[in-house]
Amino acid sequence: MSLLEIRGLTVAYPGKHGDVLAVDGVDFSIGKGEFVGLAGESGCGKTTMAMAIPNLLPRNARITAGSVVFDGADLTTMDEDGLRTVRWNEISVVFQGALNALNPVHTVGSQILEPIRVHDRGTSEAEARSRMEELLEAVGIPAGRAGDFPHQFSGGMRQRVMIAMALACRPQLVIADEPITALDVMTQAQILDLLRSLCDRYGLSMLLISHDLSVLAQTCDRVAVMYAGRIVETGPAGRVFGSDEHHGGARHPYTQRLLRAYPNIRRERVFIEGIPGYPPDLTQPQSGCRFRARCDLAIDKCAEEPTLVDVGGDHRAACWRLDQAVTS
Amino acid sequence: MTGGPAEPVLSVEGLEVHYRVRVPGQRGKVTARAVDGVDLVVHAGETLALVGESGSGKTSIANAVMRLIEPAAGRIVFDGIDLVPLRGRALRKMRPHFQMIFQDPFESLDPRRTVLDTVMEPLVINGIGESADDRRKLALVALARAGLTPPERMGARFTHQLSGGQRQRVAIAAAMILEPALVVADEPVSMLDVSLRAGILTVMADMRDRLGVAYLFITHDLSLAWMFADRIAVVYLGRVVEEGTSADLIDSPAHPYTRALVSVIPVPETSRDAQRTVLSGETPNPSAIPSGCRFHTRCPLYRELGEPARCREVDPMLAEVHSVVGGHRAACHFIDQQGVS
Repeated sequence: MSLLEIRGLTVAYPGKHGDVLAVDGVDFSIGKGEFVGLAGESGCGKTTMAMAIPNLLPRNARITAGSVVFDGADLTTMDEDGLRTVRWNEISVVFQGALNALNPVHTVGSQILEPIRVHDRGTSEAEARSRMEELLEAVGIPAGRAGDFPHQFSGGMRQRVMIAMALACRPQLVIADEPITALDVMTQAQILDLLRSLCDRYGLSMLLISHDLSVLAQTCDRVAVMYAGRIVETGPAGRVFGSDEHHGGARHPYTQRLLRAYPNIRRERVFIEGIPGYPPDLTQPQSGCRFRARCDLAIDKCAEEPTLVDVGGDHRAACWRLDQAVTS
Repeated sequence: MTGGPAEPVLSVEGLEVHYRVRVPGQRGKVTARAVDGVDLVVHAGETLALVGESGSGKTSIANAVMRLIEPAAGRIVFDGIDLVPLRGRALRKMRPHFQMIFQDPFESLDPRRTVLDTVMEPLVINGIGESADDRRKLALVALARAGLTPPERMGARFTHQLSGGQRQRVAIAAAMILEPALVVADEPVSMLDVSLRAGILTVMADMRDRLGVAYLFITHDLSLAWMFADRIAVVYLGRVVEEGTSADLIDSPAHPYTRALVSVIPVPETSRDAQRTVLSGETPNPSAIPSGCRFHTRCPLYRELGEPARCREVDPMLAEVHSVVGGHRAACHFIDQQGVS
């Protein structure tokens, strides 16, 4: 039984010539305790999809179709009061650009206490304080630094504070939007290890959003790749990234090309490849496979909408040419 | 790429860059040694990648080489001439031969100028070309080389009308139009989407083959450096701690810092067998560089060996590491002790 079950989710922004469908009929689920990665280039709709879950979309965005069932309740039809109890208590978010999201005039301790005070009303002051200190320690910050201000912390330490805040009300699901993008390689590795260990320790479900497939490959149980508002491929990380013997490797031509855009030090030293062309203009109505204009394998059939089909072991791809798109 | 030994186009000797900075909890300013004794050699037509995390000093090295900031000590010898004492006209005379590509193509280009004007500007400043028409022709060739086609139409656009990838191509065309011997490229693709990176790097590689330009390629991305550069120098806290050919450095890193960096490089495949060494803590502040080996405070090997006094007391110099192709050097007292665990 999934903790989160998204069906046919469509999110529209008003555009000059009608609606822009940033997310266009997406099915997606996250299991209890599962660590799921969501990948795609900028503008593919990954942040919009993630923010649609706790209904934290920008004011001009609308969910025009689909359902987001979390723990048995559809969040798309829930009122603001209901959503307020879900946010923080059930689903929390580590936002992109979080390094600058802390309030500079409050101590980090008081910023972790605030969601506990606001969303966990029954908690006594002493309980809240001890939970705050426990959270700091859990993210690798000595509790003695609770009285420090954000400017006294490095980028990596501030990200740890943001993660502690996200955990403050003991949520079941944490959505982390590009949590390591502005950080150094070694700090990135520290934060990814931390997220993974928190997941295991508290039985959390995690949705990790990243433009970087390599980051997801090494951290996630399962991944989904988005392109132009749709999920084009999803499956266990071991299958999509092809390290499971005999049955591995990306199957969608977009994922395959994206993978060749990264250098891989474990393989032969070859020049990375780009993907010619640009993603489709979503202000125009779309049909068929969104990737076909950039795809070497495109045929007439690709003008029809492909659906995600199982290629084995819960690994699914939406492509008419799966017979051709053999892994390299 | 060039084969065999070539003349160094750039040699940096004992470079130091200091900043006066405020440190929380201390009165007044203290000296941060951002670059603390760096030697580098870039041969003609060669690409040397300078890899480091933030605070390593890699951008300060780049800016010092470009003579955009004043070094506290050291020599920057370009084509046999030390650039450090040069001022005014003498320095300007040298500038056409070493150019720079910046990280952010949204900030490095003037949005009020057309692409053609942007690319022609270095010609105008240096009085190259018989006439405006001449310069125009040269600029159109440069645009085409950078993959901005058709050059006539792209040249008429304003830079603010272009995408990030196109802007970076304009920056490359402008940097290359004087056919410099050296281009310093500071994180030239880190702001671009991954599907666009290959295009930019292909143009840069093409210029390397066609014009024989040498690159000092500044990046935080070790795997990109491995893919693009002939040699890599790893910088930690203002010092080169290891250098070697790209293949050598990634396949058999010798310095504990490089070993840790290589172990955490994300690769687009699930690799459960790989041993990752995640260093704890952060790079110390360059205003308080640790004594002896500056890496000892975070070094796994130092702890493994029972914290030898030598690491705390003696600053290690770069020394030759045994390798097939040579030129592999690392600054560690205990290179031979690697792999004891």
